[in-house]
Amino acid sequence: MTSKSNAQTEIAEFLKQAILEITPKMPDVAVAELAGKSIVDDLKLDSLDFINLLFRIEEQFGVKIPEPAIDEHDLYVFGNLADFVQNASRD
Amino acid sequence: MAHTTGLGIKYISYHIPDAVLPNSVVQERFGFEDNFLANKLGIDERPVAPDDQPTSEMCLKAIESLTAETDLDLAQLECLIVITQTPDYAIPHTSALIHGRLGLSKSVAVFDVSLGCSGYVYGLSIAKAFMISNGFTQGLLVTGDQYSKIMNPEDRNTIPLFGDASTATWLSNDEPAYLIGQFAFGSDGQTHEAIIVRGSGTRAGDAQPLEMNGRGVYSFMMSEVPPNILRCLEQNDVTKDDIDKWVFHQASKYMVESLSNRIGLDIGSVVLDIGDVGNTVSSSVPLALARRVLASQPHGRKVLISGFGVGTSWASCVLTSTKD
Repeated sequence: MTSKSNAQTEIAEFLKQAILEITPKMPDVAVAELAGKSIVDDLKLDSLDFINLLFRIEEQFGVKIPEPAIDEHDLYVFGNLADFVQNASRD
Repeated sequence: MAHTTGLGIKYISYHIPDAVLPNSVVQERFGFEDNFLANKLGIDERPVAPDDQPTSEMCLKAIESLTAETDLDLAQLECLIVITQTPDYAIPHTSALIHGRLGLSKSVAVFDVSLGCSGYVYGLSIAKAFMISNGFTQGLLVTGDQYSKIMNPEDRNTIPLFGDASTATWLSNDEPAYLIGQFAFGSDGQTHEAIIVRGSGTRAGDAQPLEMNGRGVYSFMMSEVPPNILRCLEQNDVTKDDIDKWVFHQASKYMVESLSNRIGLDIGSVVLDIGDVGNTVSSSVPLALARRVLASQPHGRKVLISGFGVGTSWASCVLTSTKD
């Protein structure tokens, strides 16, 4: 349980840091409060920035995110994306 | 046999169609966020070739500009190479049509090369090798693509990006402006669907429009192009600090900046030439060279050029000014 939590936190921290690097427009929100946030509407990433974020995830975690999975798992929501990356990186 | 070791780029001319697709129309059609087109893609308008002006005609206009701006004597040409993936016809090659319209000598070698955004860099290598191996001293490398005629007007992935344009590069061993250095190439056929037109080939049924997987293109560019550029620097025995100007394929402002940041470049030395033309495919590198390098003073002692796209394929080369 502890290692799972650590992994979740690590992924969430990485995502937050990556988004901050991609766009200076991201509002200052604590990681614990990010789970329900929309990456596009709340965190201010546009479509090109989102592509950039997915590329960084691929590089960092070796996780390929297929195009259909984005809508299927509603990966524009921060918590859903973090969960998807965690599950995919375990496989 | 003529001495050709000094073969290089003597001059580059271009043609940009007058009609444009402005951001106001694209914005209305697709509803992008405010300033996305101008600030993120870096594009204000996209030239659109007239319906009655096929690729060969657009290329001829660039060659007309070249003959008007220089003392090029077309009768001295020994080869004409055209880079395009939007030819007038499937058969014959577009260079044959241009050869006929210009009334060039029957001794001139003409052929097309089917490559997209990497095409100019590949074309320079092909032209250089072809000219040297045959003892030629005067050649033309022409680029021209008209994506406006193969895109789906309702496709928000492609319509905002691409513009039509053509260029004509005079290659000569008579006082060239830039000598052509060593090349680094790359290809990944596993990703050939990243940019594809499924219609009109021998595998095709009915004609279909251009398709582009923007995310796939971004990933390939960020993964493959930086190591290719570093390899190109090594092959030319130079470092990043030796390069005065960087001319990348103008895929979009965002992609040029992302690539530059990944390589760790001073953005001030990176050429951006996309606002009034968009992504002009095979013409983007020579257009940027003509407008932002050759036309400026000082125009840079060493210039790295890199093209990448359809295939997927990529290629880089270092050009060295003869003026210093």
